Parts: sequence; structure tokens; C-alpha cells
Amino acid sequence: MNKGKHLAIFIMIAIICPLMTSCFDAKEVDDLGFVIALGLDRGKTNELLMTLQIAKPMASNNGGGGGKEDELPYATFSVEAPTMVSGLNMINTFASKQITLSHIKVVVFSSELARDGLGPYLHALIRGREFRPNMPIVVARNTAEEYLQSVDPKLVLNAAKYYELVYQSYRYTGLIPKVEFHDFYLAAESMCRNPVAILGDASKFESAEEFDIENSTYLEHGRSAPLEGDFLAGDIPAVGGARAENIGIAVFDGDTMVGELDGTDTTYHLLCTGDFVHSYWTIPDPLSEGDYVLFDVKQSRRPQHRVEIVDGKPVIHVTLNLEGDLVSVQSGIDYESGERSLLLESAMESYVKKEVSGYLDKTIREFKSDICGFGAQARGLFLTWAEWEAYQWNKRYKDATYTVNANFKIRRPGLILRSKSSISSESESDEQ
Amino acid sequence: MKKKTIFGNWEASAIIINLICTKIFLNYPRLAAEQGGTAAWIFTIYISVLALVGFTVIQALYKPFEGKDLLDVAELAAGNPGRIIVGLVIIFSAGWCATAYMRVFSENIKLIALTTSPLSFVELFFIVCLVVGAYLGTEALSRLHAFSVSFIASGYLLIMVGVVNYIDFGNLLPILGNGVNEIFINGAPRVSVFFEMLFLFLLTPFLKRHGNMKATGYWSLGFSIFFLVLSALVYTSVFPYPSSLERTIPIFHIARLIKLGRFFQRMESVFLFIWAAAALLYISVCFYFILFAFQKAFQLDYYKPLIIPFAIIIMAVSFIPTDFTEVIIYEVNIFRNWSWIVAFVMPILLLIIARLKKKKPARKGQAA
Repeated sequence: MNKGKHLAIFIMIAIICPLMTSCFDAKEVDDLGFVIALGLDRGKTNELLMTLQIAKPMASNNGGGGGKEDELPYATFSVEAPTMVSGLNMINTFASKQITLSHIKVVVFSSELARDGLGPYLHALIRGREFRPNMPIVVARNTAEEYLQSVDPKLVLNAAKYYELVYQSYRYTGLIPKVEFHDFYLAAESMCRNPVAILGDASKFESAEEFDIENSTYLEHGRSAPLEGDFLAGDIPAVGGARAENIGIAVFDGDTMVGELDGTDTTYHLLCTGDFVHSYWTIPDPLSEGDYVLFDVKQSRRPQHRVEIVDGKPVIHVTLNLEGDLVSVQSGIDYESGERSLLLESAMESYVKKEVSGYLDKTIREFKSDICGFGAQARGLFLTWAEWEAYQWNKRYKDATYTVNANFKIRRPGLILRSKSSISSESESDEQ
Repeated sequence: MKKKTIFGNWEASAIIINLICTKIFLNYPRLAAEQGGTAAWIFTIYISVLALVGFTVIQALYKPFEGKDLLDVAELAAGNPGRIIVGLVIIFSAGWCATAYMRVFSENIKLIALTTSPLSFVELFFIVCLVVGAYLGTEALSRLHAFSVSFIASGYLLIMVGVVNYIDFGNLLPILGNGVNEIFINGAPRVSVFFEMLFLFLLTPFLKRHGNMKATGYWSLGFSIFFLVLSALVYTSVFPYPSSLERTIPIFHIARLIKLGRFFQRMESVFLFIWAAAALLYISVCFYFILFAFQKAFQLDYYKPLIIPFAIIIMAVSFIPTDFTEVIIYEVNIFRNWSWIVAFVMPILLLIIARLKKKKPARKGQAA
């Protein structure tokens, strides 16, 4: 009995010992270099110029207390290589840690690469188990290397957190699209919609003296001065914080980039896809020329899409349902209730219709790319996949016509129930 | 085999549910998308109805053979040769499942977790589990299933709920997907997805009464159909056709998408846990039934001496396919197209013959 017990203990220890030596694939976290951003450009000496931002754990965790003020929370490596994986191999030869992509937060492509087609890179990203399906895709208007080098997060010490937060800004600005690699890849392969990416670039302004609005898109929108969304990435007259700017959309047809949309059109894109959360809108005052009314606009219901096929051509009907809170009325006109409230709602509806029509025109006539995914509704008109495939939606989208219907309701007037104009000594005497 | 072991309906149902549903983690959603296209869920409901009809016929024919397993029925129908042939068919089928699943699961684990470990090292975990399972026997396996399957099901449902943000039912259009012909005519042999119902007819001695077998069959089919339809519905609404045909491990790709805020991410670790648990249970049960069928077919007193040799054979056979794609072809394109003959046609034929044979002596007696 005693012998048996000893034998059992011996066998148990013999089994446990090898298990305690950790897994065959074990890797120490401290021995790994975690890439947080990957940039891809066309190389000079080889196919690709690959730029990696690798997190420096000590810099990220100093809590703002001990680290040097100017020290960036990441190290940047660039290498020219024929493919992504071979680039990683090359960097591994001189980086002190083994590079891993399992915590990557963003992939940035240069517009040159995007305009040639991202197909070969997309397949590498989807096949690799380390790439996350939730990571955003950015197209840098110039080079991805410059874009990544211009990332200098001032408000957060952890670069990974910077990336997680900055690409969520579509929730409160409406000026960048909601893009995840998962959606991008599926849309690139889809027969009913096309993908978009966030448009990014390093700011061209170093100081406030250099500001200009030459490249603003306000004239295209028929305005006399630019509104907040009338810019493409890199053109915003702003300094301070990270020089990397994200505003606008890179429009794709399949895996090939075909154009750019500015921040304003990005808002309408979000409205049409239902990804719009809320943002501040500035619209011209209908009763006072030169003044603006500001709203905090939300989506009261998801947009309704209806597609018909008339004489073989798609006819798209879009209904947008919005609501807003008054934030500011520059003219001081009492828009809070009654007839004027209805007038303002109606002005807003007309404004949205006009602007969204302009946006849809661009996607249909200029880009010929269904980035809103209206094709998903059109699929329902067919019984089988073979019939749908034969219709060739992506080719027919350029012949589409559309109607836009917008419903807008002012919900709350903010903290002021009735607007009154400022009273100066002159205006008082006028009244008397 | 000690037939004194008796277990309840839930234990038996848990075994069958796990046997049928493990393929959800492996390849079922992709298989459904291949066959049905955007109508993968309609295809799944269709083959489920076929399986229900098949089981209804079998359980009705089974009534006079209460407490007898399929090998007993085969003996009644065709004597010793019948028992041996049916035993060999079951050994071959269960062996096919065990080896294919062992290889596919090991390859998948190598793909997503133990990337640098040798395949033999990964398979060693499975071998240890199936050897231990076989040594402990049917009672331990059934109790373990009763306990584990509820956790596996909860983890699976958690993944399905977690991905709700990505579900777009528009992806289920066009409603008839690959067409009526592809779904209802060419898709019919895919009822082989329910091949594992065959093992219920080996569990009958442990369930004693025919009513228990009937209840177990319907309950396990009901749960399995729910999980299979859910997987097809969620997968094809998250990954639109034809992208849904690309994914190696469909539910793993779904689990990777789950991101609820900055803190609730990387849910594939839950998937890995339930997936490994389901696979280990599946292979252990298949292995046990190989031994059970062998012992019964050749009327051996003990099965335990067979455990180690059979485990080595299973491991060795699982190395025969040269690559991962080849195993997928064996499992999906061959086995899941033809195994309905073993799971449904063979039992029906055996039961009809056994019934006819049973009636003959009675008529003779009446005549006398």
C-alpha cells in the first residue's frame, strides 16, 4: 500500500514537472517589441517602404511623472523590403526585441499605394493571425512614413491609447468615417458596396503665420468662407498637438483608391450609412444673411434606404431622420418656438437635402463607387445569388438616380428658452 | 462493457449535442455557406428537418428493440456476420471522425495558438485525453458531458451575442442564395452533418427504456438544430457571401470581432477554451465508441487492453493526410456527403430486417 502511494506520488510529480516548464511556444512579454502602427509606402530600392512604430513600455507607463518631457512613447523603424513579412524579418535583425504585430492599432497606406490597389496587402493582413479585425485603416495623402512621424500625442502618454481614441472621433465630429479593417476587407470583396478609409496626412502648417485656406473645399460647397469640415487632411489651419491630421474619406472602388472626400462630405457619408452619432453643425441663418445657426445634431433613427430598378437602372431613395439641439443663434432671432422654429427646421431639411445630394452626386458621377452600400438593399430584389451576380451592381451604380428626403426636428433650445438681442445705447434710443 | 451503467436523458443528450455541434467550431458555418450561399440558414433548417424525419422513422422502428444497441439489432437481423460487418462500419466511421477531427483541431490550434509547436506535440494532448476518457469509461464521459456541455453552450452563446454589432441581416439576401436546386436537391446528402446521431443507437442499453431514447433523440436534435441554425445565421449575416467561404475557422473569426469598449476585447480566448473542451470531448467519445464497437463486434470480454494500441493507430492515421486542405476535403467533401447512409439508411434497413425476422417465428408458432 505504501509502495503504491509512493509510486503514485512519483508518477504525479513526473507528469507535473514537464508541465511546469511552460508552453513550447512561451514568449516573455518583456522580450517582445509590440508594434502599434504600421505604415506602408512605395519603396525606392524595393517594393515597399515599411515604417513601424514600436511601443516603449517604460515611456508609456511613466504616468507623466518621471519620463523626459519630449520623449516619444514609441520608437520608429523604417525598412525597404519586397513584402511586409520580409520587412519584419529585416527589422528583427537589428531591433533588440522580437517584433510582434498582435497589438497593432492602425495600418497606414500611402495614397500612391492605395491608388495602385491594396489587394496584395489586404490578403496578407487577413491571413495573418496577429492583425486585429478591428484596427482602423488610414490612407495618408502623402506618405505613411511622414504621417506616422508626425504623430506626437500631447494629451496621452500611451501611444496605443492615442490611436484607440483618435479614430473614434467620428462619434463626436462626424469628420472621419467609421472604418475597421474587417469592414474594409469585406467591402473590397463585396458586390454591393465599396470600402472607404480614413484620410490622414501631416499638417502642412508649422506655425499660425503660415495659415491659408487655399486648399479648402468651401468654394466647391458654394460658401463664402470655410466651415469646419471644408478641408482635406493636412490642410486644416491648425497648430499644436500631433501634426497628424485625420479628416475626410479615401474612396475606393474594390481595393483601388479612386478619390477623396472632405470632412463635410464625410458627415453626409456617415448620415447615409447610419454611422453618424452626433456632431455640431453650422448652417446659414435663413433670416439673417451672413449669420450662422449652430446645432448639436443627432440621428433620431437610422437612415432608410429603398432601391428600385427601373428600366434596368437603379433608383435609390434615401430618408434621413435627424434631430438637434440649438447651440447658438448668432443673429439672436427667436427660433426657439412657433413659426420660426418650423422655418428653421425646414431650412435645415433643405440644407441637408442639398448637401447630401451633392455628396451622392460625387459618389455616383465622379467616383462611380457605392460607398454607402445601397447595393445591399438592391440584393433583396433578386431571388438567387446567380441573378444578383448577373445584374452587376457595381457597374450599374454609375447610372443610378436618387431622391433624398430629410426630416429634422429641433428638440431642445439649450439653456436659453427665448433669444433676445443685445441692447446697446443706440438701440434703446431707437425703441424710444 | 458493463451494461449495468445507466445514465439519464440529459447526460446522453449532452453527448449527442456535443458530437453534432462540435463541427460548428470547426467548419459547419462555412459548409452551410458553401451549400446555401446567403441561404445557409434555410439549408440548415432543411437538413435539420430531414434529420428529424430520419430519426422519427428510426425511433418508431426501434420500439420492439428496447435496451438493444445497433450491434444487437444487427445480430438479430443478420447473425454474427451482420454484427461484425456493422461493427466494422461503425469502427470505420467513428475512426474517420476521430482521426479527421484530431488532425483538424490540432492544425487549427497550431494556426492560432501554438504556432511553433510540432503537430505531434499538439496531438499528444488529445491522445492523453482520449486514453484517460476510455479508461474511465462511459459513465465518467457522460457525467463530464453533462457538466461541460452547459459551459460550452454558454460560451458559444456569449460569442454569438457579443458579435451582435456586426450582424447585418441584409447579408442574408438574396433570400434563396445558391438556388432551390443547390439547397434542396444537392444539399440533401449534407444531412450527414447529423451523422453523429448514429451514436445514440449505441447508447440505448444505457438509457434502458425506449421512451428515454426517444426523448434523448428529440432533445439532442432540438438543441443541436438550434445551435447549428444560429451559427449559420450569425456567420452569414456577419460575413457576407462570398467572403463567408474564405474563413478557415468561422467562429474564431466571429470571436475576434468582439470588442465592447476598450476593456472587453480579444474574446477568442473564450472561444479557444470552449473549442478545445468540445474537441477533446468529441474525440474521446468517438474513441470510446470505436473500442465499444470493436469489443462488441468481436465479443471480447475487455476493451481496456485495446486502448493504447488503438490510440497509437488513431494518432498515426491522423498524420496520413499530407496537409490541412486534404483533411478538410476528406471530412467535408467526402464524409459529410456520404455518412448519411451509415447514420440513417443502415439503421433503418437493419431495423426493418430485424423486425421481419422477429415476426417470422411468431407466425410459425401461431400456425403450430
